[in-house]
Amino acid sequence: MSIEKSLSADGTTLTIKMDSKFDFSKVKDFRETYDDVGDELTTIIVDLSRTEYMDSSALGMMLNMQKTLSGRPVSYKIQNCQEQVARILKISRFDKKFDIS
Amino acid sequence: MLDMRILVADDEPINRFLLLHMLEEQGFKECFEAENGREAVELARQISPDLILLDIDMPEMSGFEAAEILKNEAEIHLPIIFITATEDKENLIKCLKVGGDDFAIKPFDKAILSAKINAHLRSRRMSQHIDAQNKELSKFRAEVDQEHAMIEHIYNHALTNPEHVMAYFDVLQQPAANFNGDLFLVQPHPNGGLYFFLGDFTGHGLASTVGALPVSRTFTAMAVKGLSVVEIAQAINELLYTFLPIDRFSAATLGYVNETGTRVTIWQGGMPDFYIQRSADKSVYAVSSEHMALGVLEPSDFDSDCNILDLEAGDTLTLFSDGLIEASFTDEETGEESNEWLGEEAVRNWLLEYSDLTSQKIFELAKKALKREYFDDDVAVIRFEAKDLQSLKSQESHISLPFLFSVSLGPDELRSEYGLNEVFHILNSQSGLGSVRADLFTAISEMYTNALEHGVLGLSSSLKDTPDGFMEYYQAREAKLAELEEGFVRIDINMYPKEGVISVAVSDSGSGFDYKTAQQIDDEASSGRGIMLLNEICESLWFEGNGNRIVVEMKI
Repeated sequence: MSIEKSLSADGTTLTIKMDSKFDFSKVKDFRETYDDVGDELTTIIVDLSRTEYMDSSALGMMLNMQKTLSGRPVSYKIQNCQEQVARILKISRFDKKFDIS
Repeated sequence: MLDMRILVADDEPINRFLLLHMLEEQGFKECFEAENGREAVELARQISPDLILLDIDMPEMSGFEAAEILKNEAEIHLPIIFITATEDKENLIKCLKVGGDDFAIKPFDKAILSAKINAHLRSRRMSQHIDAQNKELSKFRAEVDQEHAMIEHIYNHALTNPEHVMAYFDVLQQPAANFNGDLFLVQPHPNGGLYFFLGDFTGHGLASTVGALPVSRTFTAMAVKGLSVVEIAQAINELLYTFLPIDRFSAATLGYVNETGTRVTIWQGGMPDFYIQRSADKSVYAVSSEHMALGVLEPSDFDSDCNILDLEAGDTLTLFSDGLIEASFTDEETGEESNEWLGEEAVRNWLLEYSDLTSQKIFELAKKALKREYFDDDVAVIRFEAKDLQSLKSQESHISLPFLFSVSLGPDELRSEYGLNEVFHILNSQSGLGSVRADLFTAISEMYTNALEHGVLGLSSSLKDTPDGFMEYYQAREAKLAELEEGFVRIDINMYPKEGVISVAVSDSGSGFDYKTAQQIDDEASSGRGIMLLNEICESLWFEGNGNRIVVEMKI
């Protein structure tokens, strides 16, 4: 299993589907998913349906993504969190910066 | 054939002599004689003849009377040939009516009579053969029944669901054979909430149930520990993959409903769609299986995608095995099965049509629609209505012993993930941690990461403030760790069951930091979140020494 990324046909929505573990070992792979996004991009969705484990470095990676793309009119969504992952996002008050569903 | 026993009954000595003489000429060695019907019956009881030559008119008991008794008492087909002096049609018909198989008219033709005797002995031999096979079959059947009874006993005792959890489900199970290939299991989550498992093993009957026992054991053991749906599915996949033959596996829906009953996490493989019906507007949504059945894929290919659905009180889940929707319609005129299935849509329509639907009613509706009473495959229909599940929270009394676990991880362990994973493995085997397990693991990994990155490797968080620095930080982490020659991270875990507390201390070989003036982090910062997480999930947290030892306590 690895990270899967898919871009909508019109280039506006990037979906990043993480695998079972979202921690520091994914730093490079995660970064590469949004390295070459075009100007049409308006939405980034991080799909965590496969993710069982996430730590604070994953939180850092997602914030770093926002920082890297700051200045662009992009909205960020986190989808399909399993139980513990949802708990960590909630504790970290990520709902302030991400649309979590 | 010549060893078969023939009984001759005739009151005329000359007739008996002629018949016996003929039989001896043929080579029959076991011939017996009786002088009337009664004697023939009594003798037959002693010697169990294979064929009887019977005169009709005899004193004491006629051949007709004797034939009835002889036929009645014979356990298997006993050929009787009447020897008669009359050609009277009525009489000849009566010979066959009272149970005779044939007749010969005196004076008999030797060649024809011996040919008849041989033909009837052949059918006698055939029934002996059938009888022997029947006895063998009955014996075998009795053995199988006994074995089934034993296995049933084991199943009934091993596959029990806790009643207080079952009470939340509306369950209909209809096995196609003695043993059910559809397996339904439930367990509470230690924090409240519950797990359910609906499995459909390949085939039905005994062979389909061999997997049920280990699956149920694994499910139960992991549920008690509060493990995730994916972890449980993964373990069951590996279990079935390893020990079932390649063509045997189990479609399955494995779900966890959280303690407030507002969220369900489902892993589903090889099962029909299940339906979720919203209580607000009665709308119905189908959720499809995304995966292959459990036991098909190698453990390394296992896919952990889950469906996560938000629930509101009163929303219902309706699950069923393919035995329901793949049952075919019966043609009313011919009574034959058609190629057409019931299909999933039918169930959806019933959900929309009936407001008082139950699992039993779905089953009855299916029987009516299909015009059949019996199904060829196991049928399971499971319904769950979302509601608060906090009362299922474990009241488990912690009678476990207090323990201290301590490990020091050196450069080699720090380079691989093995060290920390092994610590989790050991903790998983401890009882009484179910309710805090996930938080405990999160806490330990956060402390471990801090100790390793800042303590042992001496990396500074401030590097992470810019996007480029963020990447540099992790590059430096990799490089420094690869070259690491000395240093350690030490983990001490103290469990105090009586006090209901577990404490974890993580110290490292680094020089520590000035924790007294460490600044509060804000929402924007890319670092410091680990500590914030710890503060939230732990009861208390403090630093010791020069900041290279952090201690947290959690309630269990």
